[in-house]
Amino acid sequence: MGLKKIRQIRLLAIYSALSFGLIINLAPLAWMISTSLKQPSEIFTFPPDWIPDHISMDNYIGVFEAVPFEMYYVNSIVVSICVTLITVLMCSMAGFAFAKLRFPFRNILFILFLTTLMVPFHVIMIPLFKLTAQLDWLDSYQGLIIPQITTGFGIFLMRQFMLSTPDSLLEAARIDGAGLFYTFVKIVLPIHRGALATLAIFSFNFSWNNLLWPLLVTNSETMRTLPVGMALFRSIRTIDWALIMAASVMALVPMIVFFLLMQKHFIRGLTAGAVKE
Amino acid sequence: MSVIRKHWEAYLFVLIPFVHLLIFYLYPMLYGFVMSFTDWNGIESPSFVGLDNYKEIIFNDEVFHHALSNTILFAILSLLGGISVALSLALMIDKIVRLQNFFKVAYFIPVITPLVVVALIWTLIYTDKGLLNYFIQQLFDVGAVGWLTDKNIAIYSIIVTSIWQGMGFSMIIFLAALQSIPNQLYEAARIDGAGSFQTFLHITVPGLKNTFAFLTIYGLIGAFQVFDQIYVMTEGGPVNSTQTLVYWIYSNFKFLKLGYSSALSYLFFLMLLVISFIQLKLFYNKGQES
Repeated sequence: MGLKKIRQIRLLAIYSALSFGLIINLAPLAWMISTSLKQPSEIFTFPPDWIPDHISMDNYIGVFEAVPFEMYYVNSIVVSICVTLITVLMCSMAGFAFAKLRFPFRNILFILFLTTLMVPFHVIMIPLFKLTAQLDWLDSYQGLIIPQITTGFGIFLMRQFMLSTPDSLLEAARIDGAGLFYTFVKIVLPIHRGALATLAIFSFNFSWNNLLWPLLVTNSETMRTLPVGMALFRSIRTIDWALIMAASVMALVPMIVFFLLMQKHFIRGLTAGAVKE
Repeated sequence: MSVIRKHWEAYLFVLIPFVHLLIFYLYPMLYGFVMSFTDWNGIESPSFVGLDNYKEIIFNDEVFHHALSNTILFAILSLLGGISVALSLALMIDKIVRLQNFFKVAYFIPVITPLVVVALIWTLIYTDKGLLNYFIQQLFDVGAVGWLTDKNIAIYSIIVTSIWQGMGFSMIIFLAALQSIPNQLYEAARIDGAGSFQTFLHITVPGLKNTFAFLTIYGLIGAFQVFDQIYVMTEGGPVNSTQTLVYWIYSNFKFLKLGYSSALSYLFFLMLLVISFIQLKLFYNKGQES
């Protein structure tokens, strides 16, 4: 047996293992889609039906009748987009200042932000809830958004990226009489587009998936975000799995589309800080 | 004041984040710390109880003890399981050229699936008449297994779910690390007549050391904060067998024991600090010596 043959067999083994693993890996998602298309009576048949006899989209309509699902959607979109935009703006400004500007107390301030990386959210969660209540922000967009608009992580990440901004460029802009804000918006931000996308995806994903904080600060059904609404779905009445799976598909689809369209940015965004570039 | 006048533009760049930090981070931290020494239901005025909350948690709170051991079990097993599956996948994907990106992307999909959705899908799979029981009953002659309702099994079912959701993340990071190991090293090893196992042990493993360090620190801290799966799948039951630290903090908050749950969160914070500190010492000191 030649070396080439051995290599071919090894490759075949690898492809088979990867394909088999992939089937197991994606089976739960396939089951979600399959269940979402079923009538209630077909959900628990033995043997399981991967492709239902009567494919029906009723559950997708049913979700909107059972709960104000459109509100969950709107709330999730509004909250995630606001959190993302403000976070990216705030963190890139602060990151730029810490990377490129000189001012008294710069390092102390930066270390102060870094220490927040050590503090898990759960430590400040309850006092933050009390504060939100005192501000009269419970059950409001302010309450959902404002506590989340800057993170030590975001500032740290942006500073790392912005360190590479060429000093000569900033100097040239200054000599041409451009103000700091003008330079930041017109020169600094455009060169770091990739970095901004990375942080944006990271923040969006975090906010879109976040369960705990929205669970604490929302009371009324129409203020719930998708994760909260779906987590509480089960407690509303007898469990209708077909409805729940239809809702799950709808919560997942935007992320999948978004992901497939911009895989590279997405993977970089979600693994931000883990891989040195 | 002249300092501010001279550097006012720079200060404007950090002003909002700084004010935000003061109001929404430092103030709550201080407030929570003070609260942890009180007995407070959030409505009447709090009464100072000194270290009573902490003593109660450490010496008498059996649910907390359950939560602690469950969280440690969860963290260790989900980390070990996740890292070993992810590493095997990455090693295989690294070897292929055709369809490499396809496999990378396809294995990553659970990572972008919202945790609540993940938890709901697996709850369905784990029900008595669910998919998993069907397969188990085809293979073995057993009755329906209570994957989430048997107190000896439930935590492991949640661990499997979490591994499924997280392994694509570690896989991508391993893959990036594998691809950054210089090819010359492998070629040199081959010329020296090293077998594939030796090459793996002496080139691949050392090349992945920092990645292991990162993934264990990041993974352990993340795993300690497990909440969503518990909330959706078991609510800490049956009989506290899936109770975890963050879920217990949350439950006490729901019971309006605000002082008590603040003390819990500060203990939790302390534990995470100790873990990060030990891990940093372990991994990074060694890394610097060699």
